Order: sequence, then structure tokens, then C-alpha cells
Amino acid sequence: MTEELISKKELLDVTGISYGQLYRWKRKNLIPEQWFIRKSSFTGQETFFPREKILQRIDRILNMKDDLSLDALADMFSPSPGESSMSVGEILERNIVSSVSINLYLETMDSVQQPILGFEKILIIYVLDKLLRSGDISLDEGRLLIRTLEAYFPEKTGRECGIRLTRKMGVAAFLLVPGDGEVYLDSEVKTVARLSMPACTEELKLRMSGSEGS
Amino acid sequence: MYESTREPQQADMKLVGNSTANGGAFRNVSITGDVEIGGDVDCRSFKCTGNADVDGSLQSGELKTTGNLAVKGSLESARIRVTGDLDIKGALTGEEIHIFGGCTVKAGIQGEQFHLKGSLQSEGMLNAEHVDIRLLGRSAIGEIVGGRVEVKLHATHKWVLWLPYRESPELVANVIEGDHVYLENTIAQTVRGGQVTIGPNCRIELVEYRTGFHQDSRSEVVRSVWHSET
Repeated sequence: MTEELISKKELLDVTGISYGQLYRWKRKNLIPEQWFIRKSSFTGQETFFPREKILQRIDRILNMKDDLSLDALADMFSPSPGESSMSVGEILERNIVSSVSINLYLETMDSVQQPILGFEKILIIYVLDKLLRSGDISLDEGRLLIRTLEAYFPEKTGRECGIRLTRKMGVAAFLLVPGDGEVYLDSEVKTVARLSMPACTEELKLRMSGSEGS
Repeated sequence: MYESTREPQQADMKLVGNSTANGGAFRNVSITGDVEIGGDVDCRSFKCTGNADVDGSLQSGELKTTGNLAVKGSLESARIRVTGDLDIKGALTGEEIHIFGGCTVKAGIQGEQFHLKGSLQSEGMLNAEHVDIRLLGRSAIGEIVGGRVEVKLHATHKWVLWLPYRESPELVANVIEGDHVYLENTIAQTVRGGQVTIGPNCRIELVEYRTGFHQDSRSEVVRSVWHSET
């Protein structure tokens, strides 16, 4: 499954934004450089974008740009971690993740726990929570996920990484894919769940900043 | 945009004559003469008259140079005012950029306002809200994109014929895109935009426009396509 692309021309038509806006957002890092995909076409060079991602991003920007400055938006979209940290109590109180997930995380970690969790940790719990809620993974697999992420994210995998949960003959395996590219597996392997870390980071930032409280 | 976070107690650096210095963090840097700086520089203001060679990156709140400035890395400064030559191996980032003279930037250029009188060489992309180029000499650039893009012949070319610029003033670019585009003396593959005006002495392969298109009779446009807003 290759990513579906949208040409710049079509993008401007669909979203109704102008060249100026598009490039202003690019300058402000609201739209990452990697999304500008250059391809040669019969008219010379054309720029394409990953369709889903860019449409969703522009939709977000258009919705939020009245409330937030462009710089604040850039912070929200950047894959780098937020600076905030929270105590366990606060996380539960603000309903950022469920208590099941947070307990599972605390239990997996060694007993000595600092009551304040940094953004990275909360991100791991958030990913866990997402997968648990969707019913794609069991609690045991959740433990596996925590260990996998703790070991490799983000030092080894980079921040732009994807998570896949695969199963083959009832055996689960997590894959962390740097750059969230495609992985080709034999036909008996089923990909059960697929998440992208940058997207999760963005969602979590939104939740933590409170503008999308649930 | 880059605003130096340096504490006020940071030292100033003042260099006069022919000298070398190490990089570092400073409050104000002022240079008169011929100076080589052997590392990254981070400062609040950078002023130079003469030659400055920075063997690293240069970050400054504001930058004002007369003469030659060469930077091995990238140059980032909110306000940039250059008279003379600018040679940057990395990228050039700023908010307000004014250059009078020659300018070579290996990577791309980003800014809100980009005003250039002179010539420009860059393989990368020039991305600015307002691009205003007055051509003196030959320029070549990969891509120009932004809100308003204006490329004109510098006024002196119209009445001073003995100018020391041997090469004919023209701009060569692959792609030029903007909401409002006005071009003179430009050779480009593709020009895309809302309101596109092709002034005299241009040669454009393809123009794609959305709201309006005007072409001077002294220019050549191979193909022009109108895109409706649907």
C-alpha cells in the first residue's frame, strides 16, 4: 500500500488556500519539509504531498489559526516532545489516559517511581492507552509494547517512527519502523494495528494543552 | 525568528584591523578590517565593515555588513542588511533581508521580506512572503516561491550603459510560484500563480495562472494554461 499523493494544484483547489499561505506555513514549520515530494511530470517538475496527512493538517491549521498564533501551532505539530510533565494524579484527573493503562505502565516499570512523568513517558502511556481502548491488544501485549518502546524510542528509532502490531499464528510482535515507511511481510502475517508516533505526539499535545479535553 | 537568549552580561567583541578570533557567544560584535572567525558565532548584533570570514554558523539578532561576508555554515538573523558580497554555504534565514550586491547561498533562503538589488546564486529554494529582486547582473536560482514575487531590472540599467556588470542582467529559475507574480528579464521553466504578469524580455516555457495573466509583447511564453478555481 503506497501512500496516495495529491498534487499541489489539486491541493490548492480542494482547500482553497493560496500559494502564499502554503509557503508561509512551510516557513513556519507547520508543514514539514518531507511532505513536499518532488516528481518530474510532463510539464517539468511538480510537487506532491501525502494526501491524507496534508489534508488533515491544513484542515487543522484552518480551524485553529484564529485561536492560536502560527508559532503556537508550529509547536503543536512538531514531532519534538512537549516540555510539560505531569503527575500521575493530574493525568488521571484530566482524563488524558485511562487508569488501566497508567497502572499497567507503573507495574511494568520498577517499583520506584517518581510521581512526575515526563512527556516521553506520557506519550508511551498514551500509545498504550490508544491500543488498549481499540481492543487490538491484550494486557500482556501491552506490557510487551511498553518494553519495546522504552528500549528503542526515541533514541534508536527517531521521532518519526511508526508502530505496527503483527500477529502470525497467534503470536504477537511489535515492529517499530523508523520513518514510518512500508514493511513487507509474508502473507500469513496480519498487521493488527498501525500507529504513527508523530500523529500520536500531536494528539497528546492537543490533549495536554486542554483544547481538546474529553 | 532568532532572538538571542544571551544574558546582558555577555561580552562585546570589537575587532579592528587584520586579525583572527574564535567564535563564541557575544552581545555585540563589531568588526572593522579583515577578520577570520574560527567557529560558530551567536550574538545579539553583528556589524562589519570590511571582510569577515566565519568558519561556522552565524546567528544574530541583527546583522549589518558592508564589504564581504563569508559564512561556512548557515546564517540566521532577524534583520539582515548587506551591502557588498554575501557568500553562505548553508542556508540563509531571516525576517527582513536587504541585500545590495552579490549573494551566493548554497542551500535555501527563507524570510518574510526579501529585497535584493544585485545578483543572486542559489541552488535551493527562495521562500519569502514578499520577494523583491532588482536585477544587476546574472542570477540563477532553483525555485522562488512566496506570496508576492517581483523581479525587475534595476533602474540604473535603463540609463547607465557603462555599468561594470558585464553579464546581461537576467534571472534563470526552474520554478516561480506566488499569488502575485511580476517578472522581467527572466528565463524560467514554469511560472505558477494567481495573478501572473510577464514583463519584457522573458522566456517562459509554461505559465499556469488562476486569476489573471498578462504578457508583454517583448516576451516569449511557450504555453499558458488557466486553472479555474473549482
